[in-house]
Amino acid sequence: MIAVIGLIVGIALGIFLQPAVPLWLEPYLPIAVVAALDAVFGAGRAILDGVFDDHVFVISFLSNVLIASLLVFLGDQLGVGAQISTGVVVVLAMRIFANSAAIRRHLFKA
Amino acid sequence: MAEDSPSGDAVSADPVIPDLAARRGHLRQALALRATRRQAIIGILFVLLGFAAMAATRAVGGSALLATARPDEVVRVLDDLTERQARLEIEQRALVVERDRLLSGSEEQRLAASRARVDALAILAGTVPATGPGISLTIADPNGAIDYSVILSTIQELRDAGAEAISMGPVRVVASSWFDDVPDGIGIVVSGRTLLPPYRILAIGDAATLATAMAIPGGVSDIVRAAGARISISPQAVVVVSALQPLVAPQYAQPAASPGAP
Repeated sequence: MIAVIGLIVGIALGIFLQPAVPLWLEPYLPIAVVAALDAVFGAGRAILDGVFDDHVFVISFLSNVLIASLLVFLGDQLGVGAQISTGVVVVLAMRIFANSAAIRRHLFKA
Repeated sequence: MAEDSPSGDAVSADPVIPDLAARRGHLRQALALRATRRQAIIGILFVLLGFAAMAATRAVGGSALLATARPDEVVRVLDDLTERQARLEIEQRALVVERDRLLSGSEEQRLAASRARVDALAILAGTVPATGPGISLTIADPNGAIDYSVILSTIQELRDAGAEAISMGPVRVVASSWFDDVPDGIGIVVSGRTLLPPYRILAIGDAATLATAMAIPGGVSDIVRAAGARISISPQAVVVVSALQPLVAPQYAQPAASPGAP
């Protein structure tokens, strides 16, 4: 419940405050958002599996965001930033699909 | 990474799946609102997630289009712009032609141009009074030491320095002006009129340039002083050259059609 409320509050803040993204953050923000989404889907699946642990969730959320951003940063420094962002997004999207498939099976048995 | 549970499509085959009721129980438990520190942290994380998602959406929607576009998209955008520029250039050329037609075709415009031309010629010919910045030059020559060549040099020097209208005493100095000495006595003959010292010369032009031209070493000032006369130069913000040269219709010369004139 707290998650839903938090999400709504965050979206509302984003819409009403219209934040200007600093230039140095611009390449990392979308990746970080996708990484966080991966953690959220993983958490949803863990809840249904009955193995959800909020400690694990917080750690995985933060480490996901951090590692994804670090990867992109490293890629930028190596000159392959665009490719690495694409790779990270592809991997994260695959994980999100896998997790959402598991959630779907749990909820709808299909 | 997200959870320590296995991921992938093989999950449904997991033999330890709890029954549906148990799963609903987990869900209900997870959705329950509990005021613990960890719940608060999770809430904050989700606030951040929503905020960041909105911020990222906004950033991508704006000017970041070119920064994130693929090369072929950028090429297409560039092509569009080039094509549009070509169209606009054609339109611009048509509009320029139209504007030129209107400008040259306008009676008022032609009248104004003619008036400006008449003014310039009248000042050149000395048929109208002229005013503007310039210098006032006085040569005091009580002994008659100054002859016409000095005055002529002075006039030439003033013209060299860009003087646009010059008068000497009551005589306007124009293209046809001439200078001579009075046969026996003091004075200068200018265009047939005898002037007695002190000679007062007014010149319209850039005051500083004219004054400098008069004062150059070995120039007019030095010559006049060497001859034993006195010269005083005063730059002025406004000089009025009111002496006029009567307009004489040329007796022999006729305007010839010049190829450059409209």
